Amino acid sequence: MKEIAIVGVGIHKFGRFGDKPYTEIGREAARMALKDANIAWRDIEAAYVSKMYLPATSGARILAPLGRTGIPICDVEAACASGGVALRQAIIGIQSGAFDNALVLGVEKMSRGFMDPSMLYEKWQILMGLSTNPSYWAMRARRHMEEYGTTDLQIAKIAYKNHKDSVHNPYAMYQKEFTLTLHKNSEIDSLKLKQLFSKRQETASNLL
Amino acid sequence: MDEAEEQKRVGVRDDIFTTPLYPSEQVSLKGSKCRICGEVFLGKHLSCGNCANEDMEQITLHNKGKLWTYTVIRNRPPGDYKGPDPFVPFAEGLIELPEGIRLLSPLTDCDVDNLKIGTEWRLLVDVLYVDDEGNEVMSFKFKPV
Repeated sequence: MKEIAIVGVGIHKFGRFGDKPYTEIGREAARMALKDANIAWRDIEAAYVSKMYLPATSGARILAPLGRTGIPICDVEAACASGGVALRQAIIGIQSGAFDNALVLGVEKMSRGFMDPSMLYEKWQILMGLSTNPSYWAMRARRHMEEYGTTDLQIAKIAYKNHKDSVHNPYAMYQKEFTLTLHKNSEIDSLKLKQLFSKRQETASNLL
Repeated sequence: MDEAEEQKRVGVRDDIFTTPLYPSEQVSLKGSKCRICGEVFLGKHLSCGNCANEDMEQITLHNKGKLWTYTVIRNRPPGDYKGPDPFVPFAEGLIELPEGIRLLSPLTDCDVDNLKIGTEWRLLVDVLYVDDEGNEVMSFKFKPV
């Protein structure tokens, strides 16, 4: 097995950026990763771009302006696992000997509110109202509380800790501390889980 | 009920209800059971999602089960949701049937703020909406026993 390393990373701040196109958001992260690795774009031999809700050939649209060097740029979609799958594809490519340097990029730009349910659910589930993503996590949490005695407070502490850390992360969407009292008073239901844990736009980049 | 009336009803999904769809009280849910590993699924499955064998039998599911987990939907679900307009918050939960399947279902006739895991619930098949062709589209919920 070849030894494979991540030699540079880049990231765009998480958040809502209005009309700023996903192409610019992704390109900023890609340029940052290239710079971090001290590798020229022309030396990249393949790129894998993960996304879920963006249009076809998003990867090419993001990366072509860096130079049309003729490399394969492949969009990858696997819902929440998209980023991991893109990274894995690059690793497989390097292991196979097909190339030595790859760029792995993940970008998303989403509207407010629930995600388009037709991307994830069948028509009958949507008609019946069974197409609300956060409720699946809420039901998991509820069952965990039942089986293991996990408390509201323990779950609240996770959000409290994460928000506390976010203050030190300039790339975090919400750089705001919450008090534990607020979390404690939150009923653990879909709405609140969504409020406390939601993220809407993201981008990051890795160079292998 | 006569045949003409019967034809006005369709299932929200065509493979999950026993027929006829009249009267609603006599309608049950249909499932598929793997003859190899025993896993049960809602509706018609040609392959087993658990062991990938193709030896499936069609079964009728029990109409009573226990609440395994739940949550309350307090915002209108996205897309073409056919529940009440204006929106009324509702509970949904996983009902564990004696067959072992845990079925995601809207919960009805209950106080959404006082639900309890382990309680007994019964199938309720009723009209979700009337489609463009005038068919009553039937869906399922569970209500407390």
